[in-house]
Amino acid sequence: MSDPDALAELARIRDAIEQLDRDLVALVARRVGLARRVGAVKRAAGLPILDPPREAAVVRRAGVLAREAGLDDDEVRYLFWHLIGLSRRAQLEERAPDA
Amino acid sequence: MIVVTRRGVSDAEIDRIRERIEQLGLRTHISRGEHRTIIGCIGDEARLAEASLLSLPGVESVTPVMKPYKLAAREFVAEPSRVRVGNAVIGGPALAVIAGPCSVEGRDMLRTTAQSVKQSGAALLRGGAYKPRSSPYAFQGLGVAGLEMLAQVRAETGLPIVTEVMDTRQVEEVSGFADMLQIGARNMQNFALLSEVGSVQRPVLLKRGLSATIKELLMAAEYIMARGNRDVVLCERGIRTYETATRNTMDVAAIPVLKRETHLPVIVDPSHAGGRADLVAPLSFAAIAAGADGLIVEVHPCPAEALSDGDQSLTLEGFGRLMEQLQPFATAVARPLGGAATSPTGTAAA
Repeated sequence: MSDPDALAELARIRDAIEQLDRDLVALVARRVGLARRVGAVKRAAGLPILDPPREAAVVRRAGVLAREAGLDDDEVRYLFWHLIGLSRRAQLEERAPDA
Repeated sequence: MIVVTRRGVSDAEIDRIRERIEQLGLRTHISRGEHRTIIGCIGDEARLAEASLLSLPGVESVTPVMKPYKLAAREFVAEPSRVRVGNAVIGGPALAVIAGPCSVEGRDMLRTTAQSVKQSGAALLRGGAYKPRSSPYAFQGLGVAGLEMLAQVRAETGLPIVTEVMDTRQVEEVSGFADMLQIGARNMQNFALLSEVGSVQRPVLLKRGLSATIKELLMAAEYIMARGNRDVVLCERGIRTYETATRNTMDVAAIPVLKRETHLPVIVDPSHAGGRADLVAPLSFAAIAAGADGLIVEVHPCPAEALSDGDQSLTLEGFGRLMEQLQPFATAVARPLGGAATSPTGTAAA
């Protein structure tokens, strides 16, 4: 890889990936923020915090969307279990919701 | 518990089956084979009693897996696993041979060894940068300088590199260089390290502990797999017995037992098993004949001057002879000797 055009193209794509990563992290932060609000609402209403059927439905939907997008649904499901783990911890936090 | 689906099951039906299981707080793992798809269930199986899975469209059978390991269990997947390491494959039709020095001692010795073992038919290059030694005063490896040499020799030869990671603090650094992370025998039950390598997307070569049972080896693999890394290769490297004529005792029976118990590829390290160069060939023949998917062999340009494990290292010529002598055994088990590696490769980083 010494062709200057190829190197410039690689740099452009990497810039785009970097921007996308920033957006992804911002989206994850928003999702966690929403989960925190859900936790507060559930607590106020006396509802259980953990909701495995809801989690299973979220993951199933993510798998379907992944297939439609031409991605490996199993890999995307795996990512979503991680995301759900983050959100679950946020819901369990005993603190007032942000904004 | 595994759920076997009917032939021609649809994606939507599989989605429904997985959702039903996951609603009860369990996780699912899917394995799609040519003829059938298996959905493995991880978690509190007692809860599945209320799921009435057999009534769901697409379900053919539901079978409990009465073993402490699940993801590693043979029943859990439709076909035996193949682990891709760079441009090589372990567990495919071809027998994969990993060869190289015990430890990376310098750029020239590594390059000479790599070129020679590649010429002789090795598919991957081994070499330790961090060495677990029985004595704190023995050579401990070159560390990051050794990793850089490995990466450079990979770029020159195209051989993917296998190197040991000893500590959770090294995993990120070593993953930046290596195509495959080796967990040494002494670390087989270092559960913090197993979890850490389970979190990175690098294939793992898991060596059996000196006094570990087959079940303990499989539980160690399960640890890695439970963290999401499914690319695990198991390695029988001899166990400690009362025998002192050999460094360890190669457990030949472990090979067919593992092949029955797990879908993971199984390779053998005849160098550590025997501890002597003259035992490498006969132990290699036994390993291949017993059904191993490959070998990992120590090779040094000048074993007498090796900084570690010189007694068990083959010379470059000795490795060439071994590969020739292995041919009839490979033919007998109807598997080509090789495992690829033709063009230069590198680890990709976006």
